[in-house]
Amino acid sequence: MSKMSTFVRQELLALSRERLPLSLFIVFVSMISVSSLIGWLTKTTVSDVWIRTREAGLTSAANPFANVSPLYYARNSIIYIILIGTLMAIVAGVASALRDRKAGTVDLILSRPTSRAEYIFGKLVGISIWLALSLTIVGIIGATVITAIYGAPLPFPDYLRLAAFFLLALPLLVGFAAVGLLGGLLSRRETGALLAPISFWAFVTFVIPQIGTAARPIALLNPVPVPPTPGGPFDALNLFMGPMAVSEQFKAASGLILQDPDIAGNLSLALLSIFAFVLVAALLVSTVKRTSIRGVLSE
Amino acid sequence: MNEFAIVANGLSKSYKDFVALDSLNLKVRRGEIFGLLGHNGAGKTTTVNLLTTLLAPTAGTVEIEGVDTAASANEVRKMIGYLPENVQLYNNMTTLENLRFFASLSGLKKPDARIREVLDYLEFRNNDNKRIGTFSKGMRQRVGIAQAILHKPSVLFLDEPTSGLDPEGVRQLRDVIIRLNADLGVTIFMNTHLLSEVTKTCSSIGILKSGKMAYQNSVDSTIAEFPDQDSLEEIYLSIEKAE
Repeated sequence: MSKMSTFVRQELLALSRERLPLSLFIVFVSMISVSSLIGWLTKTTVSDVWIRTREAGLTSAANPFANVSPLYYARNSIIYIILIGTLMAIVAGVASALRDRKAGTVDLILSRPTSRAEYIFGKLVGISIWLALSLTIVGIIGATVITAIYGAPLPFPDYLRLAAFFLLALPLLVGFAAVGLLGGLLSRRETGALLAPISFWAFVTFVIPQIGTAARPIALLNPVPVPPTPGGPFDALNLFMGPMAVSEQFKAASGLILQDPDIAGNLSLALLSIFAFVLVAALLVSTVKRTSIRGVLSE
Repeated sequence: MNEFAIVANGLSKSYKDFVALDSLNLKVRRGEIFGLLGHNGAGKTTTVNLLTTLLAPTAGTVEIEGVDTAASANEVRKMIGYLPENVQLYNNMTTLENLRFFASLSGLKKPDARIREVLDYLEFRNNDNKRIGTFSKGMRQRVGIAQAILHKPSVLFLDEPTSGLDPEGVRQLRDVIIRLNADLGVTIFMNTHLLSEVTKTCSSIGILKSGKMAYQNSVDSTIAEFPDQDSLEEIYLSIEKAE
C-alpha cells in the first residue's frame, strides 16, 4: 500500500509539471467557463429577438427562455467534457507511461521491491486524483459563472445537480485515462501510444453512436444524445451498440441530472454503461504483465 | 554467512531462436568489485538484467546473498542497488524529488536525512533543489549512483557506469566506486568495456563471449596467468580471439 502511495504522489507531482496535460486542462477550464457564457448569450439573444418580435406584433408565443432553469447554462459543458476532458484524461494516461520510458527509470523501478499492481494502480489512482481535482476546479468555476450569469445564488438542489454532473464525469474520464495508460504501456512507439487510445476514443464517441441512428453526424457534437432511428436494423443495432457508446450514455445521464427536458433516457442504464466502461478499462490495464511493461518502456 | 554474494548456475536466456546467454556459471565473492567484460552483444546487459531480477532466465538459477531470485525476487530486490546504462531520471524534478521517489520505493520512511547523507558522501552538495534536466551527464550519473545506494544495498550492479562520461567524470566515478567498496563493503558487479577502468577498479573479472563465460579469475591471477601479455587489454584481446 505504501508503495502504491509513492506512485500516486509521483504521478501527481509529474502531472503538475508536464506541459501537455496542463495545457489541455487550461483549455478545458476555459471552455467550461465560456460554455456557460455561450448559454447566457444564447438566452439573451433569443430573448432580445423575442421581445422585438413581440413588440412588432409578429408573435404571441411565450418567451422560450421564460422558465428556463439555471442548469440550462451548464448543458454546453457536457460536450466539452466529452471532447476535451476525455482527451485530457487520455493524454494524462499516455504521458504517465511515456514519462518512465523517456526518463529510463523503468528498470530502476522494477528492480525494487514493488509489484506490477502497485505500479499500474498507483499511476491510475494518481491520474484519477488529478482528474478529480481538475473536475473540482472546473465545477467550482462553472458554478460560479452560472451563479454570476443567473444574478443570484441558485437553489441548493441545483448546486447538488451540478456537483452530481461533474462527479459523474469522473468515472468517464478515469476510464479514458486507463485506456491512455494501456496504450502507453503496450505501444512500442510514442505515436502509437497516443494514436491507439485516440482512435478508440473517436470510435466510441463518433462511430458507435452513428450505428443505430441512421448516421446523423451533426447531432454528435450537440450536448443532446442522438436518438436511435426507430424500427428496422438501426434500432436492433442500437440495442447492442448503444450501451457501448459511453460518451452518448454520459450525455444522456448528464442531461437527466441537469433536468434537460429534451432528454428522455434511462439513467440507470447510462450509469451502468459508464461504470462498466471504467471497470473494464481498469481490468484491462491491470492485465499488463511486468515483462511487457519492461519490454515496452525500457527500450 | 555465504562466501559468495552472487552465484549463477547454468544461467541461460533465449529469445526464440537467439541465445543471448548460454549456461553461465558465475561466482562473485562478497566485498569484491567484479568487472564483466565483453564486446557489444556478448550478453553483458542480459546478465545484469537476469541478476537484478529484471529478466526471468530461460534456464538456470541465480542466488544473491544466498537468496534465490526466482523464489524470492522481492527479497533480492531489497538487497541490491542498480544503475542501468544511460539512465536519465525525471528531468522536470529536482535531485531531492527524484531521490525521495526511489527511496520510498525501496521502503525508506522519512528518507531526507539519508538522502543528504548519501549526497554528502558522493560530494554532491548544493544541488538538492536543482532540476535533473539542468545537469551534465556526470552529475546525473552521481544522482543515479545515489538512488542505487540509498537503501544501503549489499550488492551494487552498475551497467557501463562510465559510458558517455568525460575523463574527469570517469575518474570521479571510479573513485566513488572504489570508496563505496572500501568504506561500506558493498559487493560491486559492473559491466564495462573500458579495460583501463577494470585494471584500476576491479579485483576480479569475467569475460563473456557470445553469451558464454570465456574466462573468470581475479585480476592479479589473470595478469600472472598471462606473463607474455603486457596489459589486461592484450589479455582480453587474446581471450577474445581464442577459439
